Amino acid sequence: MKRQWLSRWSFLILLLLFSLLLAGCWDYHELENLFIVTGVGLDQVADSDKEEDPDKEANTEKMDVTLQIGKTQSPSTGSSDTGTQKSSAILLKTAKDTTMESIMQLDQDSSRTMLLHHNQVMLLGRDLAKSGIENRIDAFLRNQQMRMEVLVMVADRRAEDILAAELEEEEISSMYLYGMMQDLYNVSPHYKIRMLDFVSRLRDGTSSAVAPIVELVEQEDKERLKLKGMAIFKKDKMVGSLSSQEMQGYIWTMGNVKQGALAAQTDLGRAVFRIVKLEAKRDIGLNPNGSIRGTISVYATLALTELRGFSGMTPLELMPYLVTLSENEIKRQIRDAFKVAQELDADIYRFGLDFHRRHPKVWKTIEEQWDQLFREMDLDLQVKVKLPATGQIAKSLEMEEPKP
Amino acid sequence: MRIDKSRISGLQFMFAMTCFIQASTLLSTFIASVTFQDSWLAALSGSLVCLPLIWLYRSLMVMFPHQNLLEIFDEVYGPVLGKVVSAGYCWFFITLGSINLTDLGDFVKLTIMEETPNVVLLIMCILVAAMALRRGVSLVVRYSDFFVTVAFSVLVISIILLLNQIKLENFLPVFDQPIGKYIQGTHIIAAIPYGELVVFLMIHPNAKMSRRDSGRYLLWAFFLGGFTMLFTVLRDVAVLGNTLDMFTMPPLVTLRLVNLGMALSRMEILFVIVLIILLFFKIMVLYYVSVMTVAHLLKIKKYRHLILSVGAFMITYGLTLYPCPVKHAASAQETTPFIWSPFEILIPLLTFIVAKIKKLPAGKEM
Amino acid sequence: MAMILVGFTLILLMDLVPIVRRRSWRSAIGFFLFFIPALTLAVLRQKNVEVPSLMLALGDWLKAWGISY
Repeated sequence: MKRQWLSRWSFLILLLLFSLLLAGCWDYHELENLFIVTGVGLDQVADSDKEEDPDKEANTEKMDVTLQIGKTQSPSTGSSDTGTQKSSAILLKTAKDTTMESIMQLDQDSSRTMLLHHNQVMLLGRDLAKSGIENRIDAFLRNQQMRMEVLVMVADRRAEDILAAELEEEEISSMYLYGMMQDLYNVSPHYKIRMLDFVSRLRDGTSSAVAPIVELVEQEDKERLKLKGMAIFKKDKMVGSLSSQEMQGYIWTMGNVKQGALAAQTDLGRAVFRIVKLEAKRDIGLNPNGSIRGTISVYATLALTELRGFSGMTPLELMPYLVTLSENEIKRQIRDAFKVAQELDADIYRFGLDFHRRHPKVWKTIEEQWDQLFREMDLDLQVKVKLPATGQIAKSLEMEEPKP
Repeated sequence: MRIDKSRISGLQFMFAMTCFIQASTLLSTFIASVTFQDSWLAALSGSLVCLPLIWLYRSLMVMFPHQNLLEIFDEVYGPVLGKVVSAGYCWFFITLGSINLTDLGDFVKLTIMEETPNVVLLIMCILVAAMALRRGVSLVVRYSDFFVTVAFSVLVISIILLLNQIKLENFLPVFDQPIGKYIQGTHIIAAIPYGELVVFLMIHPNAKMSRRDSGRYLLWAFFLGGFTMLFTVLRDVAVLGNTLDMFTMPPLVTLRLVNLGMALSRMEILFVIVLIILLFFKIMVLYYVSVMTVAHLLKIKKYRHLILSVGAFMITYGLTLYPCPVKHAASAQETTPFIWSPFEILIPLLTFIVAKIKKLPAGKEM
Repeated sequence: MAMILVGFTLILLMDLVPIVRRRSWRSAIGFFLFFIPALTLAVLRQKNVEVPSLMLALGDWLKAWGISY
């Protein structure tokens, strides 16, 4: 009996010993000791900083890292005095060689620990994007706290300005950006560029990455954020951009569009359509003469939402006319975007990847010259529009039927 | 001589094996950077190649229904050579257990407890497993059916939640790597998750099942486990595409991408817990088998007092095995399949052939 | 260090005491076969002595024979 007693006791002591370790989590982080980072902005070191220290040579390795931190207090407190209402986001900024060094520095200099799990967006300043970002984003992939679904966006000027924006709609600008992209995601998944998508394109070799550009505009003393097209990257450097119109063309080329609008203007009048569904099929192959042939067939279902003009036409005449009109408009926008991409030698459509997937054997022989092949590639574009609905009214007020 | 007298049912035996294979789904990491988007092909061919292996294990189980692997060796090779072979297996089981233990440590560190020292995690794991071991195999495998169900649900749920992120084009182009890579991938899959089923030759005498059942249960376990493995790889390739080989643990990255709007994102912690449970189960089985092997080798009836010291050894030994995950992955890709092959394939095969020639087991079977 | 010693002493108390009481020397051999290496490795680790990895060594040996991918 006594032996058992002893071994029981030692077991109990062992258990108690470990309960000491278990009592507190090892790496606990209390909410009130955390800074929840909601957005990270990377910028080229600002000129003003260089002026402060003229002796120092311009260090291109360094970059400005801006962290946007959402305050954890409830927004209802202090909402009564709207005059001195402050933003509920804090901005912390420092300049170091790498992202993590900056974050560590900010961690040291602040009263709380940075929590990066809830980071919504990685904003790249335009200048930084132009100088290449491959050596800048490693931290966003490597770190366990970073997520692959972080949005990648390019700021029209400096990323910190976007993060500092004081918006009416949303108190934290990166949450606003997240909402905006989520909304666009419902239009087409190709609007939303996550870190995973971005990196996937960088790894393709021949594909060009794209990222939405956000712009800060001031309207009557109010700051607003707007989407201003898409940045086009060649390798890891931003080389150009698509305008909003061209971006739409690009999105349509990629297909899988579930919403959206389309306006077309002719001499007769102006018609506005709603996109119900837009699918794009593509086929890529090699011409006998060695050039690349790309066929894109777009199938769109539209609905008429507004008409102006077109007087003197009967609804029966009008419908086929509108179909051709919208087809041409879609074609035009797609071609416009394609032209921009070709001029930049930037395969933003991943045609190269498609070719690689369909013809892996041939691909190995042409991979080297892909840039040139893409530049000279001709696009065979076919657009088929269905216009099944005219809305609640069949005719418009202007569209008087000619009296007999 | 039966050291552990507790019995388990055939179904529990089957679920234990399934769970054991499922626990290895994280190891699909090793083939990702060998066969890239064709990793699922390697997983598939690895499974097919293992069918004869499963048949071999089944034959040994049927030929020697009341003897575990070490007793089979004693009978087939005689007491001296048998002991030598058994000692080799003793090392194999302990090493396997230690490797999985450090895997668990790395995994937990990478996912939820970044700053907790590895050792603490390993000690906790071993202590819990030790408690189960004291009660014998019946407690070790008792919850396997539950674990299998949970693991399946997680796989199915994750696939459903990721449906909108699955891009089937990611599987193209097929057969784009040199043929050697496929052989390597197949070998890795065959040796690392499936071949490890050899440990169940230490447990089968405790399972109550008829001749016919043993084959059926083995096949079902193999099928269910292989199914999980294949679909995990398929899911990861379809979601991650060409970034698959970039990550140290692709399944984890995939699960982290699960996102249903603002409300239901960042739910990977649930998946992580399930993976930890599965890995824990695998470690527990390997730990049990290691202790049993030691007890058999030294003919110790009361194995209970070995449990903690073997566990302590597994922890300290495991910590020396791989200095970092990079070396672990490199070794798993390049040499480990060759180190494991004798234990998993060659020796069982040789044993089977010698037993057939010697007409063993003599006269015991009707 | 203290934690290692306390931990291993507890294992000693829990397992070795009954073994000695029963005078089953086989068990004692089995016990020490793992207890001593474990303690050694633990102390070495505590002292930051690098213990070479058996798996890597085996791998290198196989590689020298040309058996690897």
